Amino acid sequence: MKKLSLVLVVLLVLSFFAGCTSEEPAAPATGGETPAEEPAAEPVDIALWEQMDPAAQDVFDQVAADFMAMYPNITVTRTHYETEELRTNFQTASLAGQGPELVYGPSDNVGLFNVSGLIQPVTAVLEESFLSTLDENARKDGYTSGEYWTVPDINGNQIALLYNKALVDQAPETWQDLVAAASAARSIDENNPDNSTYGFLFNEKEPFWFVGFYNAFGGSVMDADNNPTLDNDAMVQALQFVKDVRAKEGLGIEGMDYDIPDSLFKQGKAAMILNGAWSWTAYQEAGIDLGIAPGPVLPGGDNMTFYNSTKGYMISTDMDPAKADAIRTFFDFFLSPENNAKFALANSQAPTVKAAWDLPEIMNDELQQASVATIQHTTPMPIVAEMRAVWDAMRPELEAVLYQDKDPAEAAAEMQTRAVEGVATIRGE
Amino acid sequence: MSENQQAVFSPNPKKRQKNLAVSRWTPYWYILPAFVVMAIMVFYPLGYGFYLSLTDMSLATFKNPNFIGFGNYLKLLQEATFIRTLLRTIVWTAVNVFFHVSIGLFLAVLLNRKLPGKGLLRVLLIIPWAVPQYIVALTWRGMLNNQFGAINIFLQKIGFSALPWLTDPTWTFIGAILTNIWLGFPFMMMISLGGLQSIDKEFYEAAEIDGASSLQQFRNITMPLLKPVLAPAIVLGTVWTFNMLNVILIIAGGFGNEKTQILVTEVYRLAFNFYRYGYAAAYSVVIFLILLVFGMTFMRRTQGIEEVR
Repeated sequence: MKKLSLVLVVLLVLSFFAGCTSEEPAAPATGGETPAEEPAAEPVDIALWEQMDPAAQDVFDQVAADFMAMYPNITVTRTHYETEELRTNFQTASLAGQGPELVYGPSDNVGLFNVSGLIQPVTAVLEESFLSTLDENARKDGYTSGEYWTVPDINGNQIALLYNKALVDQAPETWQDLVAAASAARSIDENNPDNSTYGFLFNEKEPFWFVGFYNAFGGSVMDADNNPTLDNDAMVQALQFVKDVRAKEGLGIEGMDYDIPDSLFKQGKAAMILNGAWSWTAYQEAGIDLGIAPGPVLPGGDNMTFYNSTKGYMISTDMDPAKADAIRTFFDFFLSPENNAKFALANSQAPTVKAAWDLPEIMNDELQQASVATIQHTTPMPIVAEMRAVWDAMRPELEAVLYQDKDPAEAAAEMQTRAVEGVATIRGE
Repeated sequence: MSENQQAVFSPNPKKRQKNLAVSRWTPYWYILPAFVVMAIMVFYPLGYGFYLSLTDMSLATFKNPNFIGFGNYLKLLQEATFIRTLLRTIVWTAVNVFFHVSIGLFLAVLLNRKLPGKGLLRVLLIIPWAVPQYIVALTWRGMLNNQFGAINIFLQKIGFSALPWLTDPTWTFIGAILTNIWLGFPFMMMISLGGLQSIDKEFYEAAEIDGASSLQQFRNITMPLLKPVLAPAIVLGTVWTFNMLNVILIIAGGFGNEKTQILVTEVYRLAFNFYRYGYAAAYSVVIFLILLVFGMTFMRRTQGIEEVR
């Protein structure tokens, strides 16, 4: 009896391992073994896993329908995942050789996927002439280790200064202007916060907002070798400055996170906030007379310089080379100026195809123009995996300065130590 | 007896084995489907997790991880962060489970008595369990807000000063404990109530005749008879609380401060922020072993799976 149980267990385990370590990729749904001499005539299936907003998914389906009508031999199959799900599923599927040909998502996936060998440089499929039709700032966002790893289709995600035109006449250009405008608009009822109007609010504990201040003082979170650079004068100045927003200027609310500024601005109870491009449409829909401007120039510094990042397509290492022609055709179609403009409008972010900038639907769209104006005061967010260690190191120290009176110089030094440790962990050192 | 039945029950073993449907292998055929499911859902992931913990799988070695034996375990045990986080996790689990059981049992005893509006009360008390954890945690995060949160507003109205729930890591951790207590007591209440309702009333009547006080009845009748129900529930509650990721991450707003983290959030951070899959797997195996040892010891000590004598 024991022998039979043992045999069953061994057989089962072996069969699972055999199934999971199969090196043969799944047979393509259609036409995987396309004869080289007639690539366009054979049916080709392009699988795409994406992390798109609902509006962008609708646009994608419309454009894909047009595409498949024009190229009946090519089928595009779209599968939606949320951000983290997309990362883990693509990793897992690639490990088993079952991943899709294309992955669509934010550019910070590049650092993760290219080091793991899951994606290939886009130049393996696309000509330089195609890439040159894209905005250089957007292209740079997917560039690392001497190669381009994404085909970006929207650019933005940048934080900007948002103001309620009913409470502030015009966008402040300097920090002094901002303080004056905020103080004028501010009216606090200590007994009833519901009757209060706030001058200037922002997510003070989140490093993605904080880097806008740090960059303005000349800081940069990483050097050219992707090593953290957080212990410097710019960091000390930025930490002290952010602390003083409440401590000296009396602006803001202790413990401001994302929700408080967002909610109060929607209710018309905040004159100015800092928030990203993803939120702008919601404020307009809430009936706010929305003004959008770059972050003001800080005393002794430059304009607040937030990060921008792109979303775009990555090409799997496991892509069947026989599908390269079909994938080139896909990109030619989806990144035509007209189609690119459709995606940009659906996402309320800037198009990446340079020719799309001049189309009337972009020129006449208020949010698109705001995006163009503010994106010039941004810098691409580093896309390398080490960035996670930097974010992780910054937040506790930023909070310690804001809420536990930690000395900014000490916090900057501690940040650097933590970030270096984190980077070493990521690199497996 | 039919010919077929004769073959099955025949004293001749050769005849008996002709029919596979009823033979000494029959029980194993019955459990085979369950075994296959268990193998896919439990044994394989466990085995693969253990295998990963013996490798250096990370971003750079994602496709070709190297076998490093127990290197990850040695590193982990030498880390001061691991010990600190383990102690914090024990505090987190002990405090939570203590209040889950105390509040749950107290409410179950109340609901087991004659009480006006008992049905409505029971529904209201189950609500924390019925609402998705994510929503509960977000609601509590709003209530813990320093300035606009209901808890600080209430504290100020009754003359206390506002507490820095979301700006001081220690208070954030306490806030997470409060949230998880609120989430967890209904389960213990329902389990206890089920157990209480199965206790024969005659035990209490006999005890009353013997002059036993309420406390004596609770200690000598209720608790021993609840043990077979409560002991496995406590083990389950401990495992769930030990591995509670959502509440910590939502209340603390991510992986911000080490003082708010427990072992399972550290595993998540190592795997999905730092991409140290092998190392994170070693953490997971250690968590599994801790819970396995606890579960077995607790059940043996409390004799929770033995029949009540």
